[in-house]
Amino acid sequence: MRRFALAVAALLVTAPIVAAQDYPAQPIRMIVGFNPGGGMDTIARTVSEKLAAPLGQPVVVENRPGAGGTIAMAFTKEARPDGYTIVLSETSALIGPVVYENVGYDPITDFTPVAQLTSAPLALVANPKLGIDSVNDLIELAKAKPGELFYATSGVATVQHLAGEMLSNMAGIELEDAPFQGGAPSVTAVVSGEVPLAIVSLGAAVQQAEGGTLKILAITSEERLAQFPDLPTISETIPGFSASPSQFILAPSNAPVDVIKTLSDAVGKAMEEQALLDTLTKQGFIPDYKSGEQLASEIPNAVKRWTDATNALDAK
Amino acid sequence: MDIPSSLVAGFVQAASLTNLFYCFVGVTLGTLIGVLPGIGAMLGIALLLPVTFHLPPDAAIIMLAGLYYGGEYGGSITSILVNLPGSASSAVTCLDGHQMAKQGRAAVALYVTAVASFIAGTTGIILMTLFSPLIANFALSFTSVDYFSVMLLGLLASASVGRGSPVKSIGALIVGVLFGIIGTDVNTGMQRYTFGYPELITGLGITVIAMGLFGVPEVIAGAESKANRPVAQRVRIRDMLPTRDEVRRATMPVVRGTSLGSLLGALPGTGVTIAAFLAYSIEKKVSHTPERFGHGAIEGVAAPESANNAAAQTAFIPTLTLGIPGSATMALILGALMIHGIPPGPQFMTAHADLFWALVASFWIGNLFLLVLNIPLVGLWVRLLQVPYKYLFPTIICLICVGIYSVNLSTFDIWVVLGIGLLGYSMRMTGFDCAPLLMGFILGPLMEENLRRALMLNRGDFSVFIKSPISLTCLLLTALLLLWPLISGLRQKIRARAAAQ
Repeated sequence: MRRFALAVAALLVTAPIVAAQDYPAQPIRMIVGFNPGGGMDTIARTVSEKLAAPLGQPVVVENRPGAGGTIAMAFTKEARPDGYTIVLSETSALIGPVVYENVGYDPITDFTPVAQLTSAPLALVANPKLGIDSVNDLIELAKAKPGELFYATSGVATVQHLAGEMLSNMAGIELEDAPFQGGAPSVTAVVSGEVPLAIVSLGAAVQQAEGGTLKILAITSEERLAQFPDLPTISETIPGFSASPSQFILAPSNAPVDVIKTLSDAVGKAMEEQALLDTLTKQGFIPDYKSGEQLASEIPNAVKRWTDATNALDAK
Repeated sequence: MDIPSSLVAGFVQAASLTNLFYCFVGVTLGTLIGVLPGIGAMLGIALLLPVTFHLPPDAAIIMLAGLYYGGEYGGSITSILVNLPGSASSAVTCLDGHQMAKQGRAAVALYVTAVASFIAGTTGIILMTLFSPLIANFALSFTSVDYFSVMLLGLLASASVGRGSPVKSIGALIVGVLFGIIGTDVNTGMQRYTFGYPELITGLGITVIAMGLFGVPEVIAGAESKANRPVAQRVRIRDMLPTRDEVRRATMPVVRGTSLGSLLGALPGTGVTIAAFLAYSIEKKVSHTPERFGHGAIEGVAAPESANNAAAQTAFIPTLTLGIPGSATMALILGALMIHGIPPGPQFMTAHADLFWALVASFWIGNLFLLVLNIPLVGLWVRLLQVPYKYLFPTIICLICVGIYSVNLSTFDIWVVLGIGLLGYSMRMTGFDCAPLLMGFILGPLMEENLRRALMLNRGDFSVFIKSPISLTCLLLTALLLLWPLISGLRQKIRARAAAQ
């Protein structure tokens, strides 16, 4: 039934453009490149609910899953740049064009950034039996056994894998990646001890660490998190290390400046609500609002950093 | 708290009016969603998830879990009636279940399904109550090495599932493996057989394949047959009951199916589907009359149905005790827990013992609901078959298209279903069975992934496959399966000689 409602909403959205000062005059649709029920979908649904009040129009979530979120990006790129179609995206979509062929979009030129919502730092974790407690211990161990230590990832060229490669390169050690299909199997592998190390989402790592089934060595964000002040960052051992994927909203390029401003401000307003922040935190995301302007200046850097890491993989 | 008193507390909590209501809603919706082609429990849970934001956590989880195992059950109803598996794990039920329906015995098949599912579900719950931590550790002890060997066993067993000759089954199996390879290679990130279509980067969907192979050919074949009205089926209570002979024949398959399902369900991955297929092929192997399989043998319904329903219960064990979801559907249920601020993880069972036990209790209540709900409904379901084909078949095709489209909002998937449907039809015409193809599709890529990972982590040392006891057992069983025709052939020869002398 909801699918039907979505279809009707979609039809409404494609109605003629109205003047930007009346924006928004119709429902806005938010495209999500992942299946209903997952982390990204939950963000979309909770945020869209809170956006309705400041915008005065409902925001309808539409799932267009497939190909690691790139299908949704290509779809949004083709939409009319009137602010009535936006996409909830994440860091992996920025490297999509490098990883996959023919995705049909450029993450910088084809989109206008609207706002960043959250970031989701990763955690470098170890099986307790490995007997190491810190990044320093890991570097020491890896130097003693070059090329013998495996770490589990969510798949080839995922942010987890790229963060691991960045770590190897910057620390001058040789860690071998063991790709799994998604985050859950990689957590299983390190908990069971099949693979001694892993880079996983912080949310999953914290739950397991509380149960003592794995040990968090460090997190990948630049600075420590207010929520977890005891968790050290990798950058404390390896200065300059930063690999935190983030979640943000984009619109097709050439969208009117004031429309983007309206959207960006509405997201900013929604992100002040405690209930929304609580839901996001429970899902393992760190609320981290950035305006469209701010994001526009950061995305090219992020694209470059992650793309370089991906290209370094190919060169290997 | 010890188990009995925790369980009693759990039952008290689960039997509150609110929780009873949501449990009922969950299993009823689950059955309906299972019946609708293409819309599996996963989509159902995903759609219902936002609704549960506003419920108390126990009611929310009880409802979503009910939807999951209700869907597992509902999927078999259409398998039997119209050869349309609602989920991959009920595809194997099509083989004999639908044949029974064609012989006018749909009511018996549905009745046996309901009862076998209930027995199996209950057993799975009892095991969960008593041995959760133990079973969780067993699941954790599985490494890529063991997975590979289990998959190999499953793959080989599924070759014997088909009706046709073994050579044809193996052919279908290999085609299935090839279909499974489409998409991104897990180990290298390389795209295989995607031909530049972004829709294929993540591979073909399992529902797409199952719908195409089973549902579409059935409709095409039905459309070309002259009969405009299906077999009239009487449904009095008396017609629903299996004969005494059938009860006797179904008993052991239920026992074996349940044990197998309980064990394999706890494995993260595709435990539920493998359990169903393996249970079926075991029954076919041990049967004195294997030729009856595929032609409406009651064992062929009882075994896989008890296996997949037992597995659907034990699949919760790794999810709840370790906080590691075994499937995408389980990941959604974990997601629902997180939304309510309950962190899933190894400490869930102790930190939220009340919720854990309430959930276990609700499983049993839900299974009882399913039984009570579905026995009277058998008559209604069977009457569905009396709808003239000219209305029934277009409706089925329409439902398949809508269901498939609703998963990804992609018309590409509809074309794939139709293409696979034509393949399925031509296979049917030439005497190939579709079940091994589906199994190859599911297991092939998993087997490859685990083989490569096992060898990578062990530096190319093949001996690990015989060093691990679990793997060794599976490999020995595989060998036995391969040699079985030889052994039974020899035995018959010896017996014949003895009789001649």
